[in-house]
Amino acid sequence: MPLLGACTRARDEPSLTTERSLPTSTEPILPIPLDSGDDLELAQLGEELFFSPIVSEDGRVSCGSCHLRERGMADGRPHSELPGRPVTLTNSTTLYNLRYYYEFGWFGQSESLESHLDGLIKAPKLMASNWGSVESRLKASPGWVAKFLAVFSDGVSLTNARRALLTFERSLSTPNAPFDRWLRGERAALTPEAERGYALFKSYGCVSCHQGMAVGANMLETFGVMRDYFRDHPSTSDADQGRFNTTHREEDRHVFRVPSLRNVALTAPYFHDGSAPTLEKAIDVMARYQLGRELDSADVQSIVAFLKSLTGEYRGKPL
Amino acid sequence: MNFPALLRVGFILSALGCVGVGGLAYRKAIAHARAANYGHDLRQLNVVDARMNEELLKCRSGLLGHYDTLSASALEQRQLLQKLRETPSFLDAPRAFDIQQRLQALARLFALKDTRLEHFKSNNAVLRNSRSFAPIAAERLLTHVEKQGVLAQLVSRVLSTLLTAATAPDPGVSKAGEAALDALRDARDNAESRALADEIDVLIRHTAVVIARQPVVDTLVLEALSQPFGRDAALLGELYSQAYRDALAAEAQREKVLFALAIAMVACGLSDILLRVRKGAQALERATAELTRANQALAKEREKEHELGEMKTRFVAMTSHEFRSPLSTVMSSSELLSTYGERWDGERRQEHLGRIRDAAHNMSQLLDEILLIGTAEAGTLRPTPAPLNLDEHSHDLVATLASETGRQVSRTLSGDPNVVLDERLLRHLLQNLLDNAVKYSPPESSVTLQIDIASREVRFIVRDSGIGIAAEDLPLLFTSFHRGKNVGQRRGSGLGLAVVKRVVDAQAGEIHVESQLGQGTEFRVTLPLEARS
Repeated sequence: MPLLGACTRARDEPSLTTERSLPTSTEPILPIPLDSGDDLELAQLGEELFFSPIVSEDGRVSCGSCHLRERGMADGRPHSELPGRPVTLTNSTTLYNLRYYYEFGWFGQSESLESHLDGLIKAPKLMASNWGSVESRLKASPGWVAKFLAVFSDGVSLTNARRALLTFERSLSTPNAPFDRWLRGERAALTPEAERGYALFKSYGCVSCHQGMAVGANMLETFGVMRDYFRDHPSTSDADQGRFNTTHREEDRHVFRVPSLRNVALTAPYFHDGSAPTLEKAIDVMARYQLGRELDSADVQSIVAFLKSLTGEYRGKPL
Repeated sequence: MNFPALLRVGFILSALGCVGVGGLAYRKAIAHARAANYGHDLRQLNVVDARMNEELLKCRSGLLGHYDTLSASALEQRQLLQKLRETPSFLDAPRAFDIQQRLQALARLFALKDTRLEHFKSNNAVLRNSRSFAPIAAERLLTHVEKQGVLAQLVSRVLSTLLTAATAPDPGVSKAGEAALDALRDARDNAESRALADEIDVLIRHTAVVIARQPVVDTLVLEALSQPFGRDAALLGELYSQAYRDALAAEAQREKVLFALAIAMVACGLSDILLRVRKGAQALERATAELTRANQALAKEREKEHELGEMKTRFVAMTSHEFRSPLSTVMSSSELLSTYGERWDGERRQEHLGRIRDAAHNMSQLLDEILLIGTAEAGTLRPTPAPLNLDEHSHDLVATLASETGRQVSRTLSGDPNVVLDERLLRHLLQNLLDNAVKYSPPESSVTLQIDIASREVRFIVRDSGIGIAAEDLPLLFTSFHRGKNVGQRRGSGLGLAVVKRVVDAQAGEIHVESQLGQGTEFRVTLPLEARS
């Protein structure tokens, strides 16, 4: 197969590192750096905040309500059902590796993680709060005051709380996936089937969108490039309008952020509406509507094997 | 104004200047790290833009298979523009406003570019997908059809369209492509099997995507590349550098002035201090000199006191010595008289009585002179002038001298002899001078007394042709008990000339002496006269 030649070439040539620390490689997917240099003390405080309902106005939900550790930092359900709130319109996505994202939210509605987090804290159907109010609740709790003082000399403040949460979220990187090891030259890290799956991933064109370090999350694309997805699946909610919800421009109708495929094997169900319960189903839909072709099951299985090789390690332990 | 005052004024003025210019410099101080960072960030706009363009072209050509670097550059540019909104404080208001206006224009340009980049990514992904898959689809289709058939020729037309579209995009290619696609659509509709129709359909779809999206992607790339962002950013960077250079020059100028003022302040201050120190040293020197003088005066005083004490001791010793010989004469003659008086004849008794009388007379005279010197030394010798006839007075003196010594003194007198003088003091004066003249000259030589009386003064000249006075004796001539070296066996107390000097001084007169050893001596005494009433 001529396309596999490109893969072996990548293994023969060690990847160069530019001054901007992004490895240049002829491969369209880049390995996640092994050491992210996080402030672990701050991340620890952020983690506690993340899983504490103190960030919500009514104290009934936490960030962790929709991003479960045991579900690859996603929800595991098509839509999240939160106490006292309507069912969410979109599927909860994984937060792993979001430090390598360039688009945030299903609609790419936020330019940065900071503004995305601010939006979630304020969102009436989610935290329904604001940073000032979060700060007041933290200050009223001696336990939190002590925890903040252990990390910050000035103790509780909305800036510090925000920083801690952001630090934790950015620390959620999962390096050393079998595929990354393979990219770094460890030939045995991938099974032959996964290796074949990667070749298909590239030759079928999946990699046109799912590329970069996060294998996605750096661009927007219309759902239904080659065929009209929403003609075949009549719209059930506003969420289907995609980026149009944010910009109200016709060209943005059904445009979504290309999701990251890192740890994708752990974060079923798939798509913005959680309509694909399995990887096989998701690959089928993508091939049909985005690539304009049907794949046989052998190819699908190979691609699944490749996608499973994108599952990395969190703090040194395989997910 | 004197020099130290000028120095002080200079010091105060330069100190005030320092405070003023220093305050201005502080207020206008440039936060250099911040200013330099801002300049760096401005230049970085251009750098990031150029990098973004390069990455865009790489993504367009397929040299770069992912959009991470392109997205990272766009994020960096966005953050840079955000960060640059806050201009450094050293910029004056018009310049800061100008820079902010230009930055806003750049931000608008970038927002446009950012949108184009997003569209580029979306379109390029689809294009790349189809461009890479269309040849595969064509190859697959060819396996199902006759090699030389009409369909095969159509497929090869499509393939050449795809190839040309990728390398030389122009509207003609699109048209040719569309024509090929139309023919292909006919073939699909007339396909002999569903499977074949599907294969043809896949090729049609992907070819259509390439024909439709290639111009879109190329236009997006061209638009993004032709933006004047880089040029405008470079211009802004230059503008800022000029402003920074101007501010630096102004700051350097302020520093120079501040430095000059500080130097002036230090110079004035130091000179003032030096002057004060020097003045202090001079005062100390003066005080030391005064102290030294005082010490010397004190030492001289002590020496004088010591001399005076010695003089008194000597005076007492001399006086007692002078009294001893007449006293022993009195004692021996009176003893002889009491022992042998009865047996002696009248003549002999008279002789001893005469000796006793002479001795008593001597002692009385001596005592008189000692008392007079004592009174003069104590400063209480006051003349008591009274009308006096000098002719008679001098005549009596000369006559008495002649009767006592047998020597004739030739006397001349000119002027009105009726004067007012202290008779007692005048007697001491003339008697002593004449006595000395007679005593220290041979018996047959002449002694003259010349008296010249004028209206305001009287001059007495006593001249002899005696032994004279040695030059070395002259300085001590009027000292009590001092006697010349050449006096020989002639008797004398050494008090006569001391008395003369004090008497002359007491009457505010003058005395001169001219003498030649062995030739004679001349005393000239001038006494002022009171106006006769």
